[in-house]
Amino acid sequence: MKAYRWHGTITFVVWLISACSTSADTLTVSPVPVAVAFTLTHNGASNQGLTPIAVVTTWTTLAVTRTGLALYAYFGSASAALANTNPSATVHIPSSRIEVSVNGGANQSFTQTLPFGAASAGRQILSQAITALTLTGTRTDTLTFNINLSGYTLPAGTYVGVLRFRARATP
Amino acid sequence: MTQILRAFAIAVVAVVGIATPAMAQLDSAEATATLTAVLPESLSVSLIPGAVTFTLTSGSATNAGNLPISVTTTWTLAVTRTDVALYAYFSNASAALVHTIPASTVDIPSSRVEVSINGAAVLALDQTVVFGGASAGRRIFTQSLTALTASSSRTDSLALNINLATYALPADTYTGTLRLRARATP
Repeated sequence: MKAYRWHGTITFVVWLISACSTSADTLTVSPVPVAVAFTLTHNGASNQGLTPIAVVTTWTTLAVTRTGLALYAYFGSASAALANTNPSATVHIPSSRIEVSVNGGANQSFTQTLPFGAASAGRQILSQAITALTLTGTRTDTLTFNINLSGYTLPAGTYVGVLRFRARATP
Repeated sequence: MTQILRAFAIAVVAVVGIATPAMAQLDSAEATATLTAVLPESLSVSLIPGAVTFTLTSGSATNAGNLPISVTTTWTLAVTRTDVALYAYFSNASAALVHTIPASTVDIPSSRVEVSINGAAVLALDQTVVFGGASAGRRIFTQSLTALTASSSRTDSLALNINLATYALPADTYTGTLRLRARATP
């Protein structure tokens, strides 16, 4: 009987060590497609991206201490999120002019300062609580994009930029 | 039994304390998507009004149109453009405004049609410009472009006059089409 009790205790401790270990947890982000095109209209508030992006966030065997999960999207520069491909150009598209609708919600511009990317060049896409029952999971969020040029004077040209995604589990 | 529970509790506290005290946040690798936006070039000219009438006096130098024309030129251009110009022209220098009575053979040449641009002195439409008939036009303006004015607009007022001084013209109704067109270069 005593041996049985010690066996159970040891089994639980081993499980606890395994659960608290940081070596097994993984967190990945996968956007599809990885390119979005826009055809702009001078001074137009509505310049929709031709296709939405589906972002799949996957996490496995997070430590039981994790309580939150967040996904961030951001640019490397707030003033030139999309840069004119002509080297002589000095006018670019700032991140504040790029808007995202998450799962059909209202458009929000990339004006937040996040843990990643440049200051005032990002947007938190999601925040989700993690419980003992959701230490492993996945979710897909649909992002539609718009470039708002209302009141913004932009030369004709081709503007290219890289939108970056990254997830973080805390603490 | 009490000793076992005590040992178990100590083990739990120890394991949790050892295994998790400095657990850092977990970040995913960075994933990216490329955004490409194209703003095409555009250049347009609009006139208000689209018609002007003149009441002519034989031999008179001053036969002003009843209304000035307000011309708005709007452009969205690439930063490689350095100039934008606006031209007004007729298709035929000798018959800018053509007689109506079939038996007549006399028309109003473009050199007799004058334009005052934004209140300046009148100028005849007798230039050969990039559009229209030879010696049948007038450059209305040319403007240098910078990166800051690659997308812009301007409005110019054109007051027209028909100068009939020393020009014999039969009584008739004369009609013609003045055309305006802008060009960005290079």
